[in-house]
Amino acid sequence: MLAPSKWLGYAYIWPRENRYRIGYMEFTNITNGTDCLCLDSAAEDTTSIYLHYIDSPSAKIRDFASKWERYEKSRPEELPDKEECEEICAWKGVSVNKIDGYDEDEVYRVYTEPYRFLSEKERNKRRILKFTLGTDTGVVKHTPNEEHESHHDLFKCDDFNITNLVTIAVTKIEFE
Amino acid sequence: MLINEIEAISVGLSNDAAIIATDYRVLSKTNEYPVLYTGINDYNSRIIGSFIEEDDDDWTVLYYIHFILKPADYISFTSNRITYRDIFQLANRAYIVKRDFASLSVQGITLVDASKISGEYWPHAKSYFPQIRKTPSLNYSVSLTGGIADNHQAFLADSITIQQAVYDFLEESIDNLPNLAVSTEILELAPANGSFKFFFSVNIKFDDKKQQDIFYRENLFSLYQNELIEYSIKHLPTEVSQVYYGNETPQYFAELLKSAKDLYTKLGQTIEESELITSLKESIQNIAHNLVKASKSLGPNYSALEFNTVSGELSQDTHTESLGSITADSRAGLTGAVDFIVSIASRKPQPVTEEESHKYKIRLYNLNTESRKGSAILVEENGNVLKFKITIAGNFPLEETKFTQSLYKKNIIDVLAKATRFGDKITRLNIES
Repeated sequence: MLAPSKWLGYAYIWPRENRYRIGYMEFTNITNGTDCLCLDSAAEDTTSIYLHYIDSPSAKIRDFASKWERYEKSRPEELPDKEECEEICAWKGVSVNKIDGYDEDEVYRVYTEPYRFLSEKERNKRRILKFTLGTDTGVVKHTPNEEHESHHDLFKCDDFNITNLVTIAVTKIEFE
Repeated sequence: MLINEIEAISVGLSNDAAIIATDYRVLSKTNEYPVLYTGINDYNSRIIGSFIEEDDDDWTVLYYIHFILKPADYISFTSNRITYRDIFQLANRAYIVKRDFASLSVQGITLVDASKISGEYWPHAKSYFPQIRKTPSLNYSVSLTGGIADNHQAFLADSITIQQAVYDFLEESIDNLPNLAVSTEILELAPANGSFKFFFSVNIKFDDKKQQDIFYRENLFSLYQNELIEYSIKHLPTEVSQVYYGNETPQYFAELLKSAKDLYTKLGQTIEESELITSLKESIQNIAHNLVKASKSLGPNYSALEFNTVSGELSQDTHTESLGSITADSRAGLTGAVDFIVSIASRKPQPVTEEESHKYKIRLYNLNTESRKGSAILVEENGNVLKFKITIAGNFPLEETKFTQSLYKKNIIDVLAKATRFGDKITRLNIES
């Protein structure tokens, strides 16, 4: 029988090494198939504003597919080394960039600049989604990358539903 | 029409010319995958490639396009004379490359007639070569070029002067940052081929080991130091009078100041802007002075002294970003700037160090027990609080001494020291005991 061991902010942490439950959310999709503790230092954040690329005017499930999910059907040889937890966890997460505490224009630039080199077709299709994580969507972990320090991994909970994300704006990628 | 539906052409050659074999370098990427990249194929030709689209059905497949470029066209692109879109229009042939989403391994290549690629696949009209962000690296290469340097030679006296000068400014520019418990260690690595080149690597050491991890990941110091060096080489000559005489913050100095402030913000430290400006001015003066010294041999024997940051394997020198280059002409501008700063400084009070030691009551708030440097405060009788840097002489271990006690328990301690004053203000205390 599992019982909450301590009260940490708004999240119950169950006393398990590879914990799969934060608050009322379950994360078996994150803990399955790996011993890596991807959810360590990840936390719920329903107030900060995040950015993410989407492929059409409204977010679809494919837009929020992690690498792990993309390879659902043909997993084997594509998997990173079992030992490389950083890499495995990156596969389990979805890349988002946080705006709060960072220079918003700069983060937008990081998102849009690559699109100068992409086709008109892609530029017309793609959008930048500005959103907050609603309740029961998942947890985020700060994972700065080469592109920008604001990079976070979003670990979706098992009941993740795209409609629970709170859309603030959807911006077309345009240049002068 | 999907990109993989364009008719293939066959010229009786294998398509392996489209595969990048060496020098792969990503020029632009999203969080998910590279968008624009370049490299060299097995036949020593330049390839440029970019993302076209994802496969509609298979989530693990991406389509890219590769062009084989003439060297002159690639240079035109990197120097912003043509855009990436121009490359689409100039090319006769292109390769459509099917790649795996995660590993980017090539799963298929189709050679196509470039004129069959419809306009909807063209990049933006302003698809100029991307501005690469400065590599956050504390590894530097300094090269002499031209003249005898092109035969991999340099006069020993010149090479020693350059090494000493570079050492001086690399060490001082980080050490001079106020209120941080950091010190530097400069390594010189074995010289490599290619004109006449020196390698330096800066290690930053922290008193607090826990901090060290955070700092290293963020590479904050390298961004700051690289901008500082670049500023001194490229912008100081034009901004010197505003910065040192007018006390203004012209454009590039303002950017440098912002970067220095960012460093403190990201370290979670507060710093007075005036204190930071003073420190920046000192560091720039020191770098400029040493650059003039390092470049004094330019002329008949060598034509330029180039400064680069190097990322990746230092000795292979794979990825370099130029911080600037000094020629005999640009050296004149730098010399003028240094002379100007010295002449301004001579009108102001000079720092004076006491000849005899005196007793001071101080409290340390920062100390690196290895470098024996730190910062302290002193409360004057009139209630003024003075902040200054300290250096503790000797080589006895500092752990569990009155100095660390003052640091941790906030004790006020008596020390015997020689003060360096700037006007009335103490700027440094050299503690003897």
